[in-house]
Amino acid sequence: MPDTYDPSNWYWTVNGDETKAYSSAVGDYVPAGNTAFVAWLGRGNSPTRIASEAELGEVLAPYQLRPTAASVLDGYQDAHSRKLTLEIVAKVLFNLVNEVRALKGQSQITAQQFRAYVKGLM
Amino acid sequence: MPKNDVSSWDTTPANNTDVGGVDLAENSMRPRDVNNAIRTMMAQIASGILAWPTTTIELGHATDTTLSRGAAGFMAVEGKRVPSPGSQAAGDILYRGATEWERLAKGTALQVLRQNSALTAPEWATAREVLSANRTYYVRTDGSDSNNGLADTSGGAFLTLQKAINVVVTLDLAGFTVTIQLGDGTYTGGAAVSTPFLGGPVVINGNSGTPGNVIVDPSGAVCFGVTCATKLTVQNLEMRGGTGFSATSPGAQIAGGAGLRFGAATSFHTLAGSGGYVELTANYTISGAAVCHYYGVSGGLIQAASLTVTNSGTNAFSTAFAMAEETAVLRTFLSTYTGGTITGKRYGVTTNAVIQTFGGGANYFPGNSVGTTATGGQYA
Repeated sequence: MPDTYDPSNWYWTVNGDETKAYSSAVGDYVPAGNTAFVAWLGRGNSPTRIASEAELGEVLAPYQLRPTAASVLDGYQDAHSRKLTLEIVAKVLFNLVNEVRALKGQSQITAQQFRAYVKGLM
Repeated sequence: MPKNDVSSWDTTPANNTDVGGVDLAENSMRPRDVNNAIRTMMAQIASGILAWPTTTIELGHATDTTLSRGAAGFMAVEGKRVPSPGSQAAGDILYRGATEWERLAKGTALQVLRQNSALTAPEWATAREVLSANRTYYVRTDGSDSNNGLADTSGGAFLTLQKAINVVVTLDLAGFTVTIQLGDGTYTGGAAVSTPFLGGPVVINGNSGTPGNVIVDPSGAVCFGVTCATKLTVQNLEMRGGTGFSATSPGAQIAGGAGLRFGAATSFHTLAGSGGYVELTANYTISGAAVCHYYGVSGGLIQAASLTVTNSGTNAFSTAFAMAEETAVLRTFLSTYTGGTITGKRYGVTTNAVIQTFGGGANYFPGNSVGTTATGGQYA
C-alpha cells in the first residue's frame, strides 16, 4: 500500500531524469538504485515528477526542508527570499525615513504612524 | 324391518333388534350368535365407508335453503356469495372479505401481493425485477424509447441514454452489472441520475476501439450528472456540451474509466460539488476547451492520480485548469499532462480548499499563467 504523502520523506524525479531521485529526507539526490528509494518504490509509491530544481526548492520551502544540494537550495532560498522581501523592504524604509527625519532635525515617527502613512497610500 | 345396512340402523338402541337378520333381542338372542352379530356389523360398516364417495350431501331443507346464481364468478347460498369454481383461473386468490369470501383475479408477471391501504383486502403491486445475471441495455441513434433496449438493433435498442437510466433505476441488480452500451454516433441528450441504482454497478460504455466514435453532446447541458447517493461509471466515449461529469450531491459518484475524451465544454470538464465525488481511474484525453478542467466546490472531491493525460490541439481554460473552492479537494497527484498546448491559469485554490499534487510544483498543471492561492486555499 502506498505511503501517505509526507513532504519530509518523499522523492522527486526532476526534469525527467530517471537516473536519480531527489530525497527530501536526505536533502540531496540519491541514485535510482538507492536501497531506501527502491524499498520506497516497492511499497507502491511513485516519485513526484517536477519540472525543475527551482520549482522543487519552492515546494520544499514552506516545510523548511532545506536542501543540501546547491542546485535545489537556490530555489529554496529564492522562495524564502520572495516571501520575506516585502517585510524586509518595509523595515528598511521605516528606518530610512527616521534617519532622514533625524538629519532634518525632525522627531522620529513610530511604527504605528508609519503604518498609517502606508495605509493612506492604499 | 331387518337392519341390512348402516343406513337402516336406528338411533334408539332398543329399536335395533337385529343386524342382518341375526337376532339381538333380549331374552331371545342365542350366545352362539354373538360372533355372527359382530361380523355382520363389521361388514355393514365397511360397506358404508366404501359407499361414501357416492354419498349425496344435501344443502338443508328444500323450503328454507336457496341456491342461486350470484354475481359473475359467484354462487349465492341463502344470499351469501360463494366463489363459483367455474369462474376461477389458475393464479386467482381467495380471501375473506368484510362479510364473505372474495376472489382476487390473478395479477401479471412479476407482480407481488400486498395489503391494501385500507387493510381490507390484498392487491397486486408491481415489484422491482430482480436480475439473475449481468444485463446489457443498448442505445443507438436509430433506436426507439418504445423498445425494451435488450437487443443491439434499431428495433430493439433505446434511442436515448436517459431512457436506459430510467429503466435501470427500477431494477434490483442483486449484485450483477448493468452495462448501457452506446452505439457509434452523436447523442444530443445526456444522462441524469437522480434515483440511486439498487444492488450493483452500472457502466455506460461507448466504443473501446475508437472512443471518439461515440459522442455525447447535450449542447450546453450536463453529459453525465449524478444528484443522489449512487455511483455511475462511464468509459470509452467523448463528451462535449456544458459539463462532462457532474457529481453534485452527498454520496454522488462518477467514475471515469478507460477511453475518455473531454471535448469542448461551455462549463467544466469535471465538476464535484456539495459532497459529490468524481474519480478518473484511467489515462484520458483532453480534446477541447472549458472554463475549468477540474472544478471542485462546496466539499466536492476530484481524484485523478497517477494518470497520463494527453492534450490534443490548443485548448484554453478561461478560469483555471484546476480550480477548488469552499473546502473542495482535488487529489490530482503523480499524473503527467502532456501534448498540445493549454492556455490559462494553471490552478486556483480559495476558501480553505485543497489541491494536492504531492509536491508537483507550481508548473505541475498545464497552462501559461501562474496559479494562485487565496483565503485559506492550500496548494501542496
